Amino acid sequence: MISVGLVRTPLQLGAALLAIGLFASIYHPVGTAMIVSYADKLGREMGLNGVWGNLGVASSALVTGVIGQYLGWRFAFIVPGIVTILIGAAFALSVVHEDRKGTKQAAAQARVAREDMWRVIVALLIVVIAISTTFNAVTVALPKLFAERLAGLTQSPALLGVIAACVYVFGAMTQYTIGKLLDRHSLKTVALPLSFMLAPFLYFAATLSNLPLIVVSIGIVMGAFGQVTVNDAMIGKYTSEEWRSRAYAVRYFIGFTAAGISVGLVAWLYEQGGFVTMLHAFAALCLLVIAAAIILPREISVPAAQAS
Amino acid sequence: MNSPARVIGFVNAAHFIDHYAMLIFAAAVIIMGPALGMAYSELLPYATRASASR
Repeated sequence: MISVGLVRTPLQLGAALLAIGLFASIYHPVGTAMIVSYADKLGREMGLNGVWGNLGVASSALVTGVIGQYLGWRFAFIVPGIVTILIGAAFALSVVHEDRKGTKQAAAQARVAREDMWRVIVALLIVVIAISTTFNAVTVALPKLFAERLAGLTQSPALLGVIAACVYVFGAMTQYTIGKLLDRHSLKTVALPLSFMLAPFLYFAATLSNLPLIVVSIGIVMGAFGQVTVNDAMIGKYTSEEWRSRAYAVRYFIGFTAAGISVGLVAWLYEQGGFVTMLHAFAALCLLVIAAAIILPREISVPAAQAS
Repeated sequence: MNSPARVIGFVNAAHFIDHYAMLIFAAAVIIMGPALGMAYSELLPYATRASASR
């Protein structure tokens, strides 16, 4: 992060952003597997973890807007870079490596019939590709979308950051709620109604501005962020400890490859027809999420001890 | 043995930082464009390098 704040040429900018992506790639497969490994109640901890990620998304727009406006864009990268180093040092000093095999865990409390496993894999593949692409596209495009379409309300980068942050807070609350629902209900019961949110909200956002756009953006963020919790819980629920990290690695490899493509797609669609074309295209993609939720199988609940 | 609450606390902090770091550019690009003399659609593809390498 600090290096982005020090770049002088476009080539250096590309290299520094590549480094952020490389180091950030470590978190999801490792961190999510750690949560599953240490969680007492999987859905609740997944939901809470999602809230923290979401607060990162929300505060990024807010803090970057404020620092950028008052100190300049370079400090928007340098300041959080220093904070990250300090937290990393605290982690290295206070947490030791340990083998969690054999300890009581909340994970793998559900099973599906062997003949239905293909449904889980197909649903997961579809939903990971569609949601990762949409999630990344929405979070990357939202600051610019608001800068263009909320001009009737404000043009201050700091205030636009505050509005984006408030929208993302709804996503955070959704992740917590979805997490708690997943502890009580089957994956399909939660995923199916949730899957119907994204496509219509994205479609309507394409032509809206000012306050109606903010309201519809809340719906988009709730749909996309809630679905991320469902995806993570799907692997946590259906895989055993020894396979979980690898399953998350595959899930995030596919997801982040799709997410990487989505940024280029946003830039290209924006050039073709602005945010109208971009949002309509992603609305069409999210119809696949509904199909994925429909093909999810019914699950067979088993006690934690028996499962692990 | 690590306290689960402490480990989960650090993992949650890491999740916060991960998403925060990935989106600084998306927000900063609005003020970076005029400062670097580049358009939004010109600058945004640089974020592909970060997203694709995750």
